[in-house]
Amino acid sequence: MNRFAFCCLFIAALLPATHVSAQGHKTPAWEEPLPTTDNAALIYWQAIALIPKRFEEWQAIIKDDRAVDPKDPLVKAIFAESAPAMRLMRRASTLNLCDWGINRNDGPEALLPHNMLVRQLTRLAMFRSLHYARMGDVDGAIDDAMAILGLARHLSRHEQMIGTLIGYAIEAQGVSVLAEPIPQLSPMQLRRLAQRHATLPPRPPLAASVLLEKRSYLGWLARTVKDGRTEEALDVVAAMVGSENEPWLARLRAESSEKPDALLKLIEQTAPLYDESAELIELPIGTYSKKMADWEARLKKTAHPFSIAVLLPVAQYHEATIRVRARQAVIQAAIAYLIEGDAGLKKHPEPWTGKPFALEKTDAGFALRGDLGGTVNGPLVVTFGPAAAPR
Amino acid sequence: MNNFQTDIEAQLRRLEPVPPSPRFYQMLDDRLNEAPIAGNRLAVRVAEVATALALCMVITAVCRVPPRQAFAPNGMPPSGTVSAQQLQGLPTDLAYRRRAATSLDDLNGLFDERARVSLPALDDVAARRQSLFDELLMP
Repeated sequence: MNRFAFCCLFIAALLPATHVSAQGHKTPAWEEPLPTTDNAALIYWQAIALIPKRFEEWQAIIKDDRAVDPKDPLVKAIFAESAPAMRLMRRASTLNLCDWGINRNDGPEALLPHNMLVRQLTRLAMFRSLHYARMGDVDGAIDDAMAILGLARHLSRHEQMIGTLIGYAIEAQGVSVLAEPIPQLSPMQLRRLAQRHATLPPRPPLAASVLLEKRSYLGWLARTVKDGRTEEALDVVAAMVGSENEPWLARLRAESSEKPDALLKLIEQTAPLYDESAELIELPIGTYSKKMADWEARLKKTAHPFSIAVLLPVAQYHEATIRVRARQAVIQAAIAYLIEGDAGLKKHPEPWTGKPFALEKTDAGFALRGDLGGTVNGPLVVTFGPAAAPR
Repeated sequence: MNNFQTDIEAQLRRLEPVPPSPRFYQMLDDRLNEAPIAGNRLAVRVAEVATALALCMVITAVCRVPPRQAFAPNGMPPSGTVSAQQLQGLPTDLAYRRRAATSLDDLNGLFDERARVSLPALDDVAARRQSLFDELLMP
């Protein structure tokens, strides 16, 4: 009887496994869609491969939004030739996963060939979005502009600082072209766009990039020194500083040749400074400025120049984050304004200061201005309507 | 239905069970005492359970999709002959970080330079031919 019970239990335990196995081998019906990759990066690379070879020849038109005249035969040709690349870019931008396969353990040696080429793809998408908008095809204009924003979010996710910054720059370009057709949209189209824009992949906090940079850069330096390649590590530090003639660097080279662990100790001392900077850049407006200034002053007074050289200029990057968050909010604010009027502007304030964007009427549309709490690069102004120009 | 009956069947119907003899009981008792002791039976049961578990694990391992390995634990082999100076001439994180530290505009300028180098030059005959194919690829 016991043996019988045991057999029953054994068979019961096997059932889920056999079920999974059966599902795995289930033959799909012929009309079902075939599986495709879920990695957007692979499709972006295909799009990059299809960037028309005459791209460089067209730079004058592609870089100047005023030159995008749909009646111009050359503009028509560029539009037609860039269609396959854009079709792929649109598809890639809708996927969740984007893994470029970059080995972050390579630290400063990590090769990032995609970074420069995605910007070309972005320029092409900007050109096409403006072309669509000027032909009166607002759906096409929005699809291409949203593809730019999707790419921007992909680049800013799980990336080191450079990828994050490129993502920010691409988001700025996407917002500038998306702003042109927005006043042409019907209330229903506006609501659909607001929802689509709100569901773009979220942008992780800048602190995540700082901490990833710590593991990637500082981790590489530590491993290189432990491998006995101290000179190589110091060469990279010199390249980061931009000069071989810094007295502290010469002293560090001399000291490291006698005591190999001297550089390792400095690297270890620098690690907590990365953590501190990651905490600082997430502070709210009320406390950020003072605490950041105090920290920078303390760094100058007490930290070794090596630490200052390898730390990121986080205050500069913090401002870039403020601007990209404001650009995200300004799209929602503009849509809300067109649907609800001034009340809509109050619902989507500038995220850093919490103040509503200021409205300025223009000849062909309107502009929204955010003062960003007096940041170094000045206020953010986004123009909505046909006169919109990339900023 | 078959009503046919033989003598043998009639004899069989008359058969009655005979109570077991005391000798039979003795023999049964002896046999039970010779059987494996409780400890041994437990060991056999444990072995059976272990075998079943092992089988389950093997089946699970076969059915399971291997987890995605995003990054190799070790990066590129040490650059060796590639100096820090050379790294700055390649699309490396070091080169970009250096320019970004100057200004973001400077970084943008570097990207443009690199992109120009990576796309084929216009005097490249193969590229010109390719551009014709691009036109044929229009949907």
